[in-house]
Amino acid sequence: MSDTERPIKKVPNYHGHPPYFYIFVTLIGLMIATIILGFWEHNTYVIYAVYAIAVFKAYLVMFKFMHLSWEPKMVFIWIAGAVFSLGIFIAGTAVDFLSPREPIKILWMQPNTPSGSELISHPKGWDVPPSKEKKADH
Amino acid sequence: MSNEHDLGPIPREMGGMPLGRSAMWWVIASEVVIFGGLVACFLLYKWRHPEWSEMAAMTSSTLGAVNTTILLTSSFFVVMAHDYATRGDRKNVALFMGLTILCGFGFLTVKSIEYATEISHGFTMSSHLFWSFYFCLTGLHGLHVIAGMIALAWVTFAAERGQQMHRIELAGLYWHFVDLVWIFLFPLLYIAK
Repeated sequence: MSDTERPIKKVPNYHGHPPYFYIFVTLIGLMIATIILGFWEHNTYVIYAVYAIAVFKAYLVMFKFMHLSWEPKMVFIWIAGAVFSLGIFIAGTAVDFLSPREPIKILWMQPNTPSGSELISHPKGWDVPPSKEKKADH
Repeated sequence: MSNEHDLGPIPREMGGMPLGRSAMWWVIASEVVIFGGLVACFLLYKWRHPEWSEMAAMTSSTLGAVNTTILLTSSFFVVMAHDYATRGDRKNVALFMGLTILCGFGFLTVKSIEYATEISHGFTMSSHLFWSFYFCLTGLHGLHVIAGMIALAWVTFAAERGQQMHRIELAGLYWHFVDLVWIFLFPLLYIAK
């Protein structure tokens, strides 16, 4: 018998299975809890609770349905590597996302000033040169 | 065909498990980065723009819940199919794999209804950044559902003939990942308003 045709019973590390039906019922129960929380009230604590339930549901799917509980440690290393790469991405971009909401001050070249040309910013922080703004008003 | 030729010089195990399963975990790890990156961007933007809650209130929590139920049920079906595959029960493998694929169709149908409703109300990819994220996240997830259904159908046809039954587990792992992504998308896009 070739390797590809052998029954899965003979595959190394096969471990039997957890009680799938009870896990499924738990998942459905958690989903109902999520919906109840969602319709009940929208405050920060409820949102954190909803995310916590999602994490627990993910745990059940990963460790029970995907059999991660019985997989070799190497799988955790691969997943950890992926999460680490993701962490680098988030750390590198989070500063841009979370920077203060003040408008960006753009400096403009202002001609006909005593020094010939000076860099100025719009008094209100707009991204339109003050000179062009005056022309547009007329 | 001899065993020597079948096995060949290719190693049959990697990381202490069959090669196919290792490869599937690699695929899943790479998918974690793709979806994780998108979800992280969405969360950071949402943190900075609390007014997005008004947009999130426009999504249908009911249809989202229906789709969550469908995907959780399909995950249950696919583990049952895997269980029957370990016993060599081809008939039940085909039955539960068929039910899983049916759930995939159900998910896509509900999603299509949602998309049609949202687009008819003027919520398109270009109408607001929230909707850009919404269509990007759910669209990419939908493509994974379609890919998963094709993979499930492929391995089911082989399993019906008693061939490569171990692939049921590999396709199942991928399908669980699709379910896993939705578990996070549901509260993100439908519940946290």
